[in-house]
Amino acid sequence: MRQLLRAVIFGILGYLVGALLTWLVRGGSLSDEVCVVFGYVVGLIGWLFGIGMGDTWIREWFGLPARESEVSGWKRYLGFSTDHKVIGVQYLATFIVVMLLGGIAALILRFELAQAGEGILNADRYNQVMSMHGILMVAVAVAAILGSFGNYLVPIMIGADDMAFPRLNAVTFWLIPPVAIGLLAAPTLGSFDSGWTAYPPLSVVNNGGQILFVLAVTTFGLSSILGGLNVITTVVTMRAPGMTWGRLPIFVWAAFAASMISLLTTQFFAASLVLIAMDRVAGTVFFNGAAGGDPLLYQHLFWFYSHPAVYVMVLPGFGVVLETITHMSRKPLFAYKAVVVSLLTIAGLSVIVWAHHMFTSGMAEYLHGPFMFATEMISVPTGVIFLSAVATLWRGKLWMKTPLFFAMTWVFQFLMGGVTGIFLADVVTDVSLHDSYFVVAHFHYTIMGGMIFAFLTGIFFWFPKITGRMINDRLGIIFALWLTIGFQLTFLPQFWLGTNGMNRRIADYPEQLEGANLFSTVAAFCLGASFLLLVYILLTGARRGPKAGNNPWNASTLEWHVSSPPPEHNFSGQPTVVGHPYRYGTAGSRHAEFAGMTAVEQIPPEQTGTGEGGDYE
Amino acid sequence: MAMTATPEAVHSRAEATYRPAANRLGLWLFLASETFLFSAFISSRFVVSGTDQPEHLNQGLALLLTLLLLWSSISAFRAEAAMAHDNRRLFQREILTTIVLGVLFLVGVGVEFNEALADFPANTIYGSSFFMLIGLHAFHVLTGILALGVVWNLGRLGHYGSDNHWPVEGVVKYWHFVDLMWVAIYPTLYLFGGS
Amino acid sequence: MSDKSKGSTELAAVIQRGWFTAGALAVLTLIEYFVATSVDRPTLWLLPFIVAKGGLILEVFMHSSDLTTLDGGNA
Ligand code: HEM
Ligand SMILES: [Cu+2]
Repeated sequence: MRQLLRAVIFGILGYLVGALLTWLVRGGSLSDEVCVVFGYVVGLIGWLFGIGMGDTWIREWFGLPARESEVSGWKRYLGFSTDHKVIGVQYLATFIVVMLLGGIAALILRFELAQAGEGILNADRYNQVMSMHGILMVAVAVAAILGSFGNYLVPIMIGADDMAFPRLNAVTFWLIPPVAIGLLAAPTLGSFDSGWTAYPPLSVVNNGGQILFVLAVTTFGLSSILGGLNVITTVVTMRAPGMTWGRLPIFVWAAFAASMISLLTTQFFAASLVLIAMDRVAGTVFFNGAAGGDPLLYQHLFWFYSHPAVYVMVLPGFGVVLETITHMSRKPLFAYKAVVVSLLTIAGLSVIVWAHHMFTSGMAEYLHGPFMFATEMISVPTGVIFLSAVATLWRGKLWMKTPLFFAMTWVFQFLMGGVTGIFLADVVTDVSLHDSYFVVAHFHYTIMGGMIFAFLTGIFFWFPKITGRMINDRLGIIFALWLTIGFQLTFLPQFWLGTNGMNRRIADYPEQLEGANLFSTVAAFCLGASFLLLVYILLTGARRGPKAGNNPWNASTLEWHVSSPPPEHNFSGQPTVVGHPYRYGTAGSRHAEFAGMTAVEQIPPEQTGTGEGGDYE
Repeated sequence: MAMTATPEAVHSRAEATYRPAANRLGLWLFLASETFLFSAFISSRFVVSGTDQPEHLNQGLALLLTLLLLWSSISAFRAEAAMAHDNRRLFQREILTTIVLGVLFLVGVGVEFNEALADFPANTIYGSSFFMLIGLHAFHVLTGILALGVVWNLGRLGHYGSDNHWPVEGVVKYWHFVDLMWVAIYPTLYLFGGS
Repeated sequence: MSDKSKGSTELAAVIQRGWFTAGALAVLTLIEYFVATSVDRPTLWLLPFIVAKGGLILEVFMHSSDLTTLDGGNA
């Protein structure tokens, strides 16, 4: 608490110092964008210093001993903790909140779209709310799984006691609140209205809120780069003895591949935004066609990150879903090696397909073919992963609890998303589908269906591990059904709307599209309401749910063989990995053993699960 | 670093055995990531203005800056080697030399900026790339100087030895990396356009 | 011979390698400059210089070979 308070104060002071100094040097007004930029930078440093980087890290740079904070219990979650499990929970809580905020914005949008004509929002306001919704949700999609489960589980799954760089990890998380504050403060400077993509020329000439968008999103990029760096280093250097690359749990592989992408491509988003900032405040002309610049440059830089970013979102989702499916259908993961190769292939291919977002942008014609081809190539490894999920379920002993339920809805939704992607990758069809609601429906099926549903799968699957308690499974399944149905009803009509001429990012539309829009709006509210149930389930489960025990799902991977929640430093002895994690059905197979724990014996499929009631059959 | 180092054994495992590899890999990954950042800006320069360059470039100064940075590389290299062999005196001297050369480099960039503002201001397309790239690089030089200052001071206080000088190694590697980026930026801005 | 003087001859050898590299880099830079100012469209001619200089820096100054010994030992 003290740290948090200090961080806020230092942050505000830093902002004032930065902004005032700039103002003194150059005059003008205090709300000029240059002042905002310098204020934000100094404020960010103040914030990090205050939250605990000063105590634990910067002091060492001057030869002083680090001051460790000695808070314990729930207060650790509000301060600078270097424990990867605390950081995982911090991410989880933060991004659930951001997701709900983004959801409220979405409902406002749908409310406006219920009828043609201008309703509660005028055209400008609509674009502002739409942009806010977009960037908040993109942030959730990029960081929610990787930040929470990546942090919480990767070290335990590989038998390590923490991430490779625990302090860096804490800094990575504490960079997030300034991002949220920066974005939410944008209305004070007139909001930003250029969508999450922030294309120039609009983003160079619009209201001052855009500069806060630029600063916040660049900070967010820094955080993802550092997070990716930490995950990769951890996986490479901290694996327990015997944990060979061929024995890594699939979620670890997925987090690793996604981290590679965010480590190496996020700079391009940051770079494109820095150029926007330069054009806005330093008078450069990168995107000013009249002065010799080129707005298309932005789109290339931006998509060079933002296409791979969709795989940063969805690869960890693959990992979560595959992990859940194999444990809960009591079968070995189908084609483990092929899945690993596919994950890495996707990471590699993801950087050569970006221009499929630009078929109608006016870039050179001869680029259309190669980018179309490359995009369609990437469906191959994606398909392999999809098939692995299906084949693992096939004739498995499905243990129909909430997590598996969610994982199975994922299978359908990702199929929808992937198949519609092919139409967008085809130049011929994309020319008329681009910038229509077809695209909106496509990416909601892939991102909400492929990533948010995987996030929920993970929440329900690892909830017992993180809190030590079980949720009410009946309510969980009701939530899963409700959400899934609401989701289909909201977004299926949008494919139709798109092919019938409804443009995206626009507050008004032709009257003949009213019916489907109203339908979608009603469904969206239904979908939104289901999240109240989610919050209820999680809160009551965490407080009053039955005790979960170490291993309610009878699963093989290491995190299930320590207490729930795991002790500090995870293991009481050095784990040694002796076998592949997913040998379900092979009697006597073992994954790992370590002091203080009986060797990990995998439960053959005839046996029932424990947890509560043991109704696995 | 541990909040409370409960099972001592577990922690010393993480720190003693795994640290050097982790630190090195972490830094390499960071540098790889930085390389992509620089390449984003360098490729932007080619996209907006090809290899065009104005006539007024101060080639002499640029060559001088390049050699200055090269000189600072060898002093940084010597500093690291000195610490690896427990030669503290040489270490202190060479780190200081590196810092001084770095500062001189920044002064040179300042002079260059001043001239550039007159000849090709930021609102020309070459000027945009020029100020962006040189500015980004100079910012890295500045952070490098600050980091060198930190290890200089800690070295003076006796924090390092031949078997315990990762921060020195890391900072020096970063310094060489900044030089490496200059190897690409220098021709990008000054030479590709020919004379 | 004490340990110390053995250490210092070793140090001298390392530093000498550094000087050679720096010398090579300086020469390369000067030739690069010369090529750039005398050839008409020098872009392609300059690429080998960038690669060579970068390679030297990576190999000698940045010890890129330490990348080969990073795995936690379970490969
Ligand atoms: C086989 C798989 C996929 C293919 C072939 C594909 C293809 C495409 C294409 C061609 C577009 C551009 C449409 C346009 O603007 O005209 C697009 C848009 C988009 N896709 Fe996909 N996609 C696939 C999977 C995914 C996945 C897995 C995600 C996310 C997790 C995703 C997220 C998006 C997003 C966010 C956009 C819209 C970006 C914007 O304009 O704001 N896609 N997709
Ligand atoms: Cu894409």
